[in-house]
Amino acid sequence: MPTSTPDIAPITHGVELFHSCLVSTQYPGVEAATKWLFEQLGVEYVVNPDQTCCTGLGYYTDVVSFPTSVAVAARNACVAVESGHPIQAYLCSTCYAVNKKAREVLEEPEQRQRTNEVLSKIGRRYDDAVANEVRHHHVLEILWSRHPAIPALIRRRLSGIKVATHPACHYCKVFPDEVLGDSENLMLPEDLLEPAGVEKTGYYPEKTTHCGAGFRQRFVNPAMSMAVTREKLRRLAEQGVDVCVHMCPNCHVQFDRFHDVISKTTGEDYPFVHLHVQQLLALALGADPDTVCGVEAHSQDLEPLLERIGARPRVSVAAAAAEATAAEGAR
Amino acid sequence: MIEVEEALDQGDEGLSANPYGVIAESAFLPAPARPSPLLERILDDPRMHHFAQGLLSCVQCGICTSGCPAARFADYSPREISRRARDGDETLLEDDSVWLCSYCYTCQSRCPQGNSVAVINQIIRGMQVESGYGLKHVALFTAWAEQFYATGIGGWPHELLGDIADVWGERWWHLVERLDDLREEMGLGSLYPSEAAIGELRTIMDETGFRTRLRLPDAEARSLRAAQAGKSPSTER
Repeated sequence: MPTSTPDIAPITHGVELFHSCLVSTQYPGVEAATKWLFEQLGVEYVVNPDQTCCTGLGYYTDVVSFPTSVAVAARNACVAVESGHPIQAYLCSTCYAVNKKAREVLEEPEQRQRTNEVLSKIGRRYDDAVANEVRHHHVLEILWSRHPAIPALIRRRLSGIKVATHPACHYCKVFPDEVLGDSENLMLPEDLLEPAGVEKTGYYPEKTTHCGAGFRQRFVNPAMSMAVTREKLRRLAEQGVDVCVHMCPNCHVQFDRFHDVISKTTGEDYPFVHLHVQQLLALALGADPDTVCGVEAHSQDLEPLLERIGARPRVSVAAAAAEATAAEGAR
Repeated sequence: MIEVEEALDQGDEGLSANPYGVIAESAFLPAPARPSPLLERILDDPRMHHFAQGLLSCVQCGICTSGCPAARFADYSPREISRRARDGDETLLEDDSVWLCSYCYTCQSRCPQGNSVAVINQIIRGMQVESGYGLKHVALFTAWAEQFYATGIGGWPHELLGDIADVWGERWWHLVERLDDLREEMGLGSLYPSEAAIGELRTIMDETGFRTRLRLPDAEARSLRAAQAGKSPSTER
């Protein structure tokens, strides 16, 4: 299967790794793996303590109004430019969409003026200097910009591991024309992993169906939310995948935490696991599953996969039995 | 009925007597004006600026509905929302079905006319919150709002997870207990933004009417109560 993701100019410095609330509190290993990859691939970056959350979960549960969301995004853009790291790199696709939408609206003079009236209360201003300098990228785009360096860095081959992409809606569908590749068949995650020798899945039925979380729906309409997630799990199982890779922590929460729950309730077997793209890529580049990828935070048991790809010492049944016998004899 | 030749000879006077002439004239009359304050408000929202022509030129093809997860699993139709928005149907302002949208944007990304029902929904939900009708739909999420106001980060507060946390089981509670240590072991910094950033954030939220929009209690009273309870959002069981 040929690579279909278009090349972009290398991004090597001036990156602000934008804190994501769900990555920070649910899968901190995604942040650690991203930092580790940036270091391996020579991407100079900072984490800026003056950056606040993007408002995304509140905006999409309708407790945050659009003007609040835009003003917060404008402030975060000011802070990024001020620190000399104006390339905001998003771990979460909702951060990506919220900030990009704000940027679009802030191009309208009337909206910019309204927002600047708010920002004046904190002594800040979203002006042309900020607008021209700030840039918005999903972390995977930054990694893709450095992809020619990946093949030489592979330390663990992922041969025989079949990988499918769950394309994040807020990356693919809010600004479909700005997606790296085909918004209806995103290959960016699988193309990033290709040098590790993974088997790519490409398009599959329901590939574009969302994860089921639906922001409020997970909490107030669990039946609808679970129905969507189950549908997707079934389709992925049909493909015989080993790993479904993610690019948005809210999707990751939905799949990783509900996978075994849905399987148990329905009696259906979905024999695969969920990982963030950065986690699987870092593992392929030799990263530690615990201190870099933080697998302990996951609900699914990742140990069989980690063993299979050589990220854990393989303990054979015979060796374990011999060890047990020896221990028994020593007593 | 007068002959065509005769009518042409008589010019305009003759034409007016021709029943076809009457039809032709009426066909050129402007469509009756249908003032629609709701449609105007939707089109005025900055989020709709890119989609205004799309809404006005919606041909009701239904591609939005064909890809919509809520249309598939619940009683909801984005095509209907689009039609009603175009008609300025004020009953949308007290319609609960707009709350079924998942904001997956499939409707928007596939619309051949450049419309966005996801955005229309979000605008209508906002109107419902502001009028007070929609407050029941966001009440659960004020826990998120308070956490964000207090700490500068989002995440799903445990008050919100409720039964879900029970379903997630021991592995979830294990993470909750280990989160701070895990972050430290991986060399990650603070979960929270700087105090200065949180202060600026609160000013922005106050200035944009965040608390009053949600009818939240006075911030000072609230933060005092939270301080007394020694709350640590996000990581508290």
